[in-house]
Amino acid sequence: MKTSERIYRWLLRLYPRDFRDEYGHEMSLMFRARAAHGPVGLWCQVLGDLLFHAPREHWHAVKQDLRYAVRQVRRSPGFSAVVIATLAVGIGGATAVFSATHAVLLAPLPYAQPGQLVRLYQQEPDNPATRGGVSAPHFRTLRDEAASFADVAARYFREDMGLDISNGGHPERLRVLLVTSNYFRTLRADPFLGPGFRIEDEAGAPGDDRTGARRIVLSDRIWRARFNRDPSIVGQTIRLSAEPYEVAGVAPPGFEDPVAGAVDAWLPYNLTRDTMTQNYSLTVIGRVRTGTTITEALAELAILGGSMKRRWPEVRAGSIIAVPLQEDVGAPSRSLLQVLLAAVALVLLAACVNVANLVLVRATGRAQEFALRAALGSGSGRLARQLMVEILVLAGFGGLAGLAVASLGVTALQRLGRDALPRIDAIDLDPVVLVLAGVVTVGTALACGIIPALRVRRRDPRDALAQQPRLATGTRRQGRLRSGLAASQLALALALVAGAGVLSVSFYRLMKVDLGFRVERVLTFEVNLPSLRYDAARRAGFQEDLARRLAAIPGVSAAGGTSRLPATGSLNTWPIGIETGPLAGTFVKQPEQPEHRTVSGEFFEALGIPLLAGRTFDDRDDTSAPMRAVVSAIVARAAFPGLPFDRVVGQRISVLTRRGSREIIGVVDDVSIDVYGKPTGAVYSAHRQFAGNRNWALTQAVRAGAQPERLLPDVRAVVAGIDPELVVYRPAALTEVVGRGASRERFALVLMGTFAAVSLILAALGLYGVLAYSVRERTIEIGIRMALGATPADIRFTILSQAAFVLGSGLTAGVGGAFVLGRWLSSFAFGVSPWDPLILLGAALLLSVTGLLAAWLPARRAVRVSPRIAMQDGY
Amino acid sequence: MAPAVFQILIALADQPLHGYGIMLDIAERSGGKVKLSPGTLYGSIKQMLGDGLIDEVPGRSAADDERRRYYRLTRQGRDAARQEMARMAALLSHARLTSLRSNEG
Repeated sequence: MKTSERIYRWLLRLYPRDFRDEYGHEMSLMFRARAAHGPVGLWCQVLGDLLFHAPREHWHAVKQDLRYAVRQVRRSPGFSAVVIATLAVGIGGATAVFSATHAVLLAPLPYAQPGQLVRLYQQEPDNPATRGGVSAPHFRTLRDEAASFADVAARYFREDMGLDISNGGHPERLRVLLVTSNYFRTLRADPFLGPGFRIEDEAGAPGDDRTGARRIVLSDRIWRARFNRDPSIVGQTIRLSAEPYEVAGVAPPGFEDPVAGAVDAWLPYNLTRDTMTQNYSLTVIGRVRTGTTITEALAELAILGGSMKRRWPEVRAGSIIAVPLQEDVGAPSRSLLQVLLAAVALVLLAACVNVANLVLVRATGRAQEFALRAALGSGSGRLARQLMVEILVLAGFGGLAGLAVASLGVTALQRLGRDALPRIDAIDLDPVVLVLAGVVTVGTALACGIIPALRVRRRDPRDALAQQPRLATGTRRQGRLRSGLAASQLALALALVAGAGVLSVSFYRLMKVDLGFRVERVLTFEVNLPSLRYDAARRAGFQEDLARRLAAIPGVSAAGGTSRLPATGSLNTWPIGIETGPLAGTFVKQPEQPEHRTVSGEFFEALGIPLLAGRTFDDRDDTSAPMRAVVSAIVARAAFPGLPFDRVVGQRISVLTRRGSREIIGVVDDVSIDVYGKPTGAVYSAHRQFAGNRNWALTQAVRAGAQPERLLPDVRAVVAGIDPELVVYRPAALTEVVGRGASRERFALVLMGTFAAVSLILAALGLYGVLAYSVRERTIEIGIRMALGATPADIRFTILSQAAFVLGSGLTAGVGGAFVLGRWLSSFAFGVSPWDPLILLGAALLLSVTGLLAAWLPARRAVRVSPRIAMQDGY
Repeated sequence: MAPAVFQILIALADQPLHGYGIMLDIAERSGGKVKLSPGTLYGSIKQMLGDGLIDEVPGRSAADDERRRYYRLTRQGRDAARQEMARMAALLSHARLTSLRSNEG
């Protein structure tokens, strides 16, 4: 054979094997004949011919396989549906959770050079766990002196300020942040219209009694929705909450605060008036200078911190630390996402195992078909490809369904996780993850499907054909493999069910926690008073009038307001000075340092906070009276140790300054600062006495006899009766408001519960599949045994003991899995160990029952085998 | 019908031929203008076998060299060729009625 012909033969490998086997020989003969006629131009022709026709032949072959595969899929709808659903759940669930993780933890923050941004905290040097806001004097020093930072900006820590807008549509409350003038520059998000803020804005207008001056930057959303994208709005004066504001600019589209999220407008913070060194009221973000590393910046901060400590020796939180902003934003949700990732990885694994098992069972079941086709001349490669195409067709449908599940999942995650995860609106389906999850699942399926197909090659077709149908399926080794797969599904399910159990018990305990007040049957809402129309005296009058009128609604037992509801986190915490008693002249500081609240009306009665001694506020406590306070039990014990509560009444404390001296008129029970039932000391002041301090945005609480939501129309009528222009803002039941504090736990529970349910179903399917298969495989054996006198009970025992063996080994392995998952769950376990043996036992019991149910059907079928029919079919 | 398929049908109309023979026959009839490449030829043969237009001639003498396979028209193939011929003839007669026939224009 000539070299050229050898090359041609080698090139013919580009054709599909079938085609090559059929025509390759003649094609090379033809090549030889034509080469003899003269080789001029022959190779060009040959190559062109190959490049055009070889792919075409491949396509023909695949098309044929596809047609056959789709026919197979339609012929066994049950099998196909289960495979597709399993793939969809595995791929979709994993994609949704991985996408959320990516958006929250990994995706760069949406600012220019986000790696340069850090969040700055003040820290007590001897207590590295503390991370507090920054005081205005410290902030000014940082901004002026820290050379490693290109910019340091701050915003007032409160994120719940608002202004009412009423032009261009129904009245709406805008979410407003108070920021320093360099806020936008630091985030490299200069307003895309207008000049933005100037340094003079930080001084505020003369005589202005509010914290902010009157220039405002609007969000792009508000500019579009309310001002019709009018560029001439910059420099104009608009009215918000009946007060004038000059528009200084419009923020770039999509711009959000890195910590607070979506905001409607920004006002300048009146920095020059804020001189308190122990009022850590600022959230500070710095941008490290280009070319400077964070380590270098930290070194400089240590030195700066030292000089600030010498300057303000009274400040306990004297150290300044910097945390990369991305890490800081993601940190609170890290443990949550880790748990969910671990859980969804287990689900994906369970899905892989399930599909593998199904495909394996199916391929084994078709051994005879393959043997027949092999006998008729199909190569094993051809059969493997056929099987591969079938799996890929299923995978294609599964992937599409998975895409649907993933996008539904992302929507669900966004709805469920609104209060639990930051940056949640930025979640986007991650195509990389989608493909990856698909590749993992399909890869497993392919591997498991092809092994049996390749086995056919090693078997003599005559053997396979000679065997009877009911005996032709599977080898002992494959049976073991299938049982092993089913057992590992059970193991995964046990881990997830136990995890869901831990979270359910935790959540139940969390909901039962004593918060120190009665959460049920209270309606809450806010009313914001425009400062222009409401001076301090009118504000004080309004709040008491409102409380009285609300309490007069039929069915309402008490009503009152507070600057922050209990169990919804910290608001203001300052040390208090003790002016009388044994500890006179000292302070109550951390860890007993109390929260400060301003309350109106019958607040304590409305929330059901018990009075332990003295009295609560009433009409006697107005601006003409001396300053008074109600303290909670922790404060009373810390400031006046050993004194009975009725003798605490009449003692004196001071808040912040000597001017803040107050007489204690009552002691109430402690309430929890959060939903975990952590009692925290509190000092309550009467709004009547402190209305002049600032325009407090009080949250109203109305205790009702029945469902609080039903009160809403009456409440609106009462508010409108006092001032028709006021808005009843964010009305909600107290249970819902407090429940938001447990949103992380609820989120984890709902997801883990879903994953556990899915894995349970998959495990049941897996076990059912193995047993049903085994029964079909052993029909003849069962028939013979019954003919030889075995009772149905014997047969049932055989099948169920096989089930019990798979269950037993699966559950044993699952205990190990549950222990591993428990490590991640420990930050969610509340009042229960993440390795609680009872929960584990319960989960094992649930799985056993499910497993035995799954085993029951095949066992019943086995018992019904008629010996005669089994033998007839068999021979 | 693809031109190559029709060409093969014509080549096989009067005698069974092997693949190379088909190619030579077509080349000869067209005065060397049409030369089917091996890919086109065997691709078409495979498709025509699948469609039942041709089949293999069984038991060809072993004296013939090199295990060549011979193909012949099936009844179906003959019908298809006739239909194609009629279609082309009709097309041709239509064309002849137009100004295309004269050399002008």
